[in-house]
Amino acid sequence: MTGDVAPLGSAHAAARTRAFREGLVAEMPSLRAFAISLSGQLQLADDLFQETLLNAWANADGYQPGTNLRAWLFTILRNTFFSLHRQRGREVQDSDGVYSQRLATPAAQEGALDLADFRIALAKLPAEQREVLIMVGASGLSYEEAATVCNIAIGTVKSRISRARATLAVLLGISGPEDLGAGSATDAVVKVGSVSELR
Amino acid sequence: MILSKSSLTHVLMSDRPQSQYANSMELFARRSVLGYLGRDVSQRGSTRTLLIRRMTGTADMESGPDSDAPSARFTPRSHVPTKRGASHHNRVIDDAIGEALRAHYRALAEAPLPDRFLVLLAELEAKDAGHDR
Repeated sequence: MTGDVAPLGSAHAAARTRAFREGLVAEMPSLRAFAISLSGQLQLADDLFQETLLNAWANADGYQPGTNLRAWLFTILRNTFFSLHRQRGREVQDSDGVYSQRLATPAAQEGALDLADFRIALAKLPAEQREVLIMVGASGLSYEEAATVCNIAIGTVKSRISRARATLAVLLGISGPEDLGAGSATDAVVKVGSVSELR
Repeated sequence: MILSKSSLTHVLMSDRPQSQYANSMELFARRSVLGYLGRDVSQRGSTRTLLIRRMTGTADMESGPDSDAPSARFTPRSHVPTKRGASHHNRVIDDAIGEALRAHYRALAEAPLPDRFLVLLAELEAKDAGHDR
């Protein structure tokens, strides 16, 4: 993507309507969140985020109004990510989640799972599974949009998400509702067994 | 009678048929697991296989009429799993994961955005304005 960026000339300025600019600003938090998810390191994520903003700006005429701006921006971000890694000549680092693990957990944390544990498990997923899980499960893209972003079949998106969920369940040690509340499944087994056995 | 988690795990991971459970502790653990699964104690197949079937939602597919005989059946007070129960479990797990996923992402998106990115955008807009003139 960075190799064939259109010049920031007046010919492209027309495509950068007010709606596009406002949309871009509105999508910045989500776009940066996705950048952090992809790169795992804050410094790397912000380089990626900045490069994506420049690319999106330069290629605004490639955006079709009425389509999902977030999905369009994610595509640019993802292409930029791989292109940056090629330029830097190194493998995608397996340090995803390092930054996010340091994030403070919201004081009033709701939900059955511990967020810190969840982040560690999420970081262990293969990158190709994590990206679609984040896109569909967290950022609100449809299966179809995620498939377009990654340039893969919808079925592949679905199977990656399904595998990601199964792996997370194993990593987090949850096999049923018992594991999400107080006490684990094994505790329940022992309890039921001993009560019946003793009578 | 106290059954530690580690001995139970040992039994769960074991693939030996029931007849080879010389240790009464292990047999007891097996009975407990089968009870949890709502199964006849004399049910064939290793405990591990039964548990896997249960977790993958295929627990009831191979249960013959024998295992439903009331006299032979080890019935716990609660937890008589059904196929519907299995899919309910999966949904509960997916919900919990989905919830954590959204919370994680929300925290990332709510992290303060450095000013330099807004400055960058303002500079780009200024360039456009310059060209328009």
